[in-house]
Amino acid sequence: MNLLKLLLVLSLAASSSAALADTNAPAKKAVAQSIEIDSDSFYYDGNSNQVVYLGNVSVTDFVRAWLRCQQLTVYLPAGGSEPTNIVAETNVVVDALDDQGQTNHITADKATYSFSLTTNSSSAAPMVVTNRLITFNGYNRDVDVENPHLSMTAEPLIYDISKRSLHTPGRVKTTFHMSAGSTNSTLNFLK
Amino acid sequence: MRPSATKFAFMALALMPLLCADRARAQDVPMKAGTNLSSVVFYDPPNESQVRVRLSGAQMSSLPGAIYDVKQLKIEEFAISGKLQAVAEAPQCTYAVQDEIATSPGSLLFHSGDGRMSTKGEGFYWQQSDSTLYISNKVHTVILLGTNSWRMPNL
Repeated sequence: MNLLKLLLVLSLAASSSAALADTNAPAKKAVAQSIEIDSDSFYYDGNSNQVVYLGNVSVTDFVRAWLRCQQLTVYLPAGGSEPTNIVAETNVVVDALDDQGQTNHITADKATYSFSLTTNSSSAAPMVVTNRLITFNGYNRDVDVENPHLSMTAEPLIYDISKRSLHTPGRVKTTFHMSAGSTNSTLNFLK
Repeated sequence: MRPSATKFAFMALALMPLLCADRARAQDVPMKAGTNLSSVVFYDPPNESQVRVRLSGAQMSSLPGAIYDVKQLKIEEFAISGKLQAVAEAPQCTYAVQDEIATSPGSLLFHSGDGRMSTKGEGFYWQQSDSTLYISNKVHTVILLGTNSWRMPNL
């Protein structure tokens, strides 16, 4: 086994994964110092270039986010560079702090981080575009997002890391939590 | 798949006293206990003077069935420039020569040369021929970061 390769992969995997939300920490000042991954067991397959964390997987930076799931799989390219896919499966729970310091609680059956490079040839000078997406799937249930201001269910829910935007190409339902004394309103978007 | 440096290193440690013997003979040759074992593996030409892997073991002794008990195993992997890239350490393991399997109920620790990442666990199974590693219990990885974690957009 190439230890360096394995170490590089784990570093990239963790830095691209979610980690923990501390609701008491000011979001714009908090800086993650480290990421820690805990699991019951671990498996590395040098032939298929996969790293798998199994059982009670927890990924945290103690500042911004916390990911929990039962299996975390990292798929490595043959060259040993950035992982092309990282998949969290089974009872996926993410608590992530946004720029306003509020915690977003996400539950899903599966979360997939994907990385790819594409060439944008539409411009005069072709540019290499980095695509980093996290796709949440619910399968047997919708993906749920909760924060102090709204509740959202969607299937799927796609977060574009590069563009810092959310996409809900399927059915989505959003409930806004109004301030005290107001009546909750529910908006349904059928696409 | 090309055997990794670590694979070579571990095999070299386990088979050091048998470097001139083939595997079939290894089962018949009684091992003698050794202490403060150390060996290096070099890069292929034209970098043959550069150490790729240094491995060491405080003690190695033979067990029945061509199995060897290795104490204080340490494997260090170096870049061509000589920079330390990774280190793996295990207080104890057993190595089955014929099956090319190293196992231990004890701890395994590996970390990057710059100290930015480390993983430890208890109980491991290392099958060299398949390039697979299992850590069965209490896996803990720590990665020191910059500021490149993602953050949720405002909803």
